[in-house]
Amino acid sequence: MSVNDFWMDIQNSEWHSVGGSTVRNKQFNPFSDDDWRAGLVRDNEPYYPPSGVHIKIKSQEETRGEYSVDHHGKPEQVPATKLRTFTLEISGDDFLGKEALSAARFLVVGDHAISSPLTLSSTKSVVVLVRLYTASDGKQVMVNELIWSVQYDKTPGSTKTFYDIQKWFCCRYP
Amino acid sequence: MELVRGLNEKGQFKTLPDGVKLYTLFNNKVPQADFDVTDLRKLGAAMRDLQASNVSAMAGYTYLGQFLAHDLSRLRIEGHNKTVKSFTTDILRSDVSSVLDLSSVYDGAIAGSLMRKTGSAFMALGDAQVSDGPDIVGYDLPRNGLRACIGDDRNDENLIVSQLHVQFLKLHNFFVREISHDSPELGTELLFEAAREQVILHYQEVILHDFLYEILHPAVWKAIILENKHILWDPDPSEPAVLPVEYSAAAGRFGHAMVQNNYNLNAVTSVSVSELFEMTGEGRFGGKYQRMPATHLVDWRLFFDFPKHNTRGLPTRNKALRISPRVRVDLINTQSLPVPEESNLATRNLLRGLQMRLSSGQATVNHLLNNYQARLLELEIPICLLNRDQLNLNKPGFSQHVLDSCSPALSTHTPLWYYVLAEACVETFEGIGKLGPLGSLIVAESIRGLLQLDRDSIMYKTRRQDIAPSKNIANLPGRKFLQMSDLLLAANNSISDPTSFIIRQ
Repeated sequence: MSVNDFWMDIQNSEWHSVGGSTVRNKQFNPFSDDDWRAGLVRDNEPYYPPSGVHIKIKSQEETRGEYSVDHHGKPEQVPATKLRTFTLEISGDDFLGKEALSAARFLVVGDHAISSPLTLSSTKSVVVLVRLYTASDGKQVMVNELIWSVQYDKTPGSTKTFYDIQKWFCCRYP
Repeated sequence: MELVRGLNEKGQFKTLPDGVKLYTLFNNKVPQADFDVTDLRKLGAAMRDLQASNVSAMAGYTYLGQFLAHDLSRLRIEGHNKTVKSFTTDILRSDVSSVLDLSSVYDGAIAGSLMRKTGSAFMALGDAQVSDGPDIVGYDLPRNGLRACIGDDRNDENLIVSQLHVQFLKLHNFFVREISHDSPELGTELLFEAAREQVILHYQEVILHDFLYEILHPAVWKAIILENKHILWDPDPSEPAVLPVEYSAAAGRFGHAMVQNNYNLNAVTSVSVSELFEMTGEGRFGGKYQRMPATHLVDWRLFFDFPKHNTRGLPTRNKALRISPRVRVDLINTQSLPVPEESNLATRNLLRGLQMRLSSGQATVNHLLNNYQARLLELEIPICLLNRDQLNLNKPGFSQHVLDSCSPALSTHTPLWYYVLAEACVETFEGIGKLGPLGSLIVAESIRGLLQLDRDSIMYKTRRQDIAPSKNIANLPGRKFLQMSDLLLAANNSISDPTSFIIRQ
């Protein structure tokens, strides 16, 4: 998919969630039920959109002009470019991650977009990576990868952290 | 047969085989259900493993609901042993008062007790512990050692309900100040009683117009609560106040499904459910503290809606899980329970329903449709039988077969508690899940009936106007309703993150 395809496709569509996510499907999760890490994954489930969630893309394109920087004593020209960003306008059924996702700004980088870091609590944060895929039946699917960081040891000063990546899916609407 | 003390034979009582009498909304006209205990145990285990159905109201309502449940189920037994944690049928032989009178706050609050501030009408408060600085005054329950000096020990069983109880103590002290300003001639005890009355009236109004609005099907809330109509229960205030068994053993137990996995308490602390139970007097504060640690004080902006307050920059606010058959709560102390070895709360609730000889969900709906259809239509309450897929939580592309996988008979003959939870999954309102029409009707009629039974309730008295209501409700423009955040603002003058008060030395 070309860069323009991603930018055009994502902003020219409305999306709806069908509630599908890897966290809701045991076959995608590497931890057995009695593994403490499975509990950390399961605890995050209410952050994922259920079915009945609609998403509109609110896009913004800014042109950044050419500028010069000093590079080892020589001026170097940085060419003008367009910064493409968007936010999500989320409606429909409520879920725990709605406020955070609504506040996030996504920056388009090539054929994907990446969110600003979302701090959910003093011990939990997530970054969202957005890609578009075309399913075997020809329908376009938005795949959102949530890259989690969860500090699981709450002893003051501890930095023991658990990382996890889970996906949730949206379909083009209608 | 032993009669329940203080009750007579005229009411709608049902009698269990061991002689215990229970109040029923349906006048014994609905056949009692019978279930295979093995099937119920399978179902309880299956409910534990269901996936969470996302979120509903703010998480504070989960614990306001628990606070209400403790108030409604306060045991008034002579020589009542406060360590008794739950009902057994033996206890139900005693007089159980179900008035919404904040007995959990005020029982035992006599002058000279540790619950009162010495020589005044104020309730006593405790201090929150700071590990390396001065305590934060007035942010914990009053304690004698670890044990909370409050009307009902159960309100110190988890951190959030414990902190909520503190807020009602503060609200009492707010009204002491307000009333003493207006009526300086009042003596200490009259002032105490006047403040107590106002706290109760405000609490009742919040239950009706805030808590129940967030929980009930909109049509039921409008008809039964807002317009004060009834279908099932129109009690005379001379009758004793007893909670209907359909509420206490089934529909009223929706809050068990709303318990979240984790909560952000404030800007610096988030906790799991198990930590909620550790960080109380009963949990011995995790063995680390002598009283509530200041790092764990609740920032109420994360638990209730404060319409005029900006929440930008705060951690994610806590929402309750949506009411559904997914109930994953394990009880720690199960020794005093009817089935001592059962720690899975879902299984325990199903067995309790059987023990109380409740009707099935289908029998209850059929009874309503056969006897009250015109009234239901008039009030636009859309009660109907759930179909098999709705009961089994089967949706296109995602079938769970919850009941059929335990026993196909459960799909045609469903425990009332499970039925009410499954009914809550059928619709959403303004994006959030609420109880369905049957569950809502049982809850609404029970609470409305209890308030009608109490001559001192908000149905007969008006509250002071010191606290301005702020809750907006869809389709009722121009009206504001009292909500929990209004009480919290009054009790605290302003609202902020309490951990910001920690002064490190």
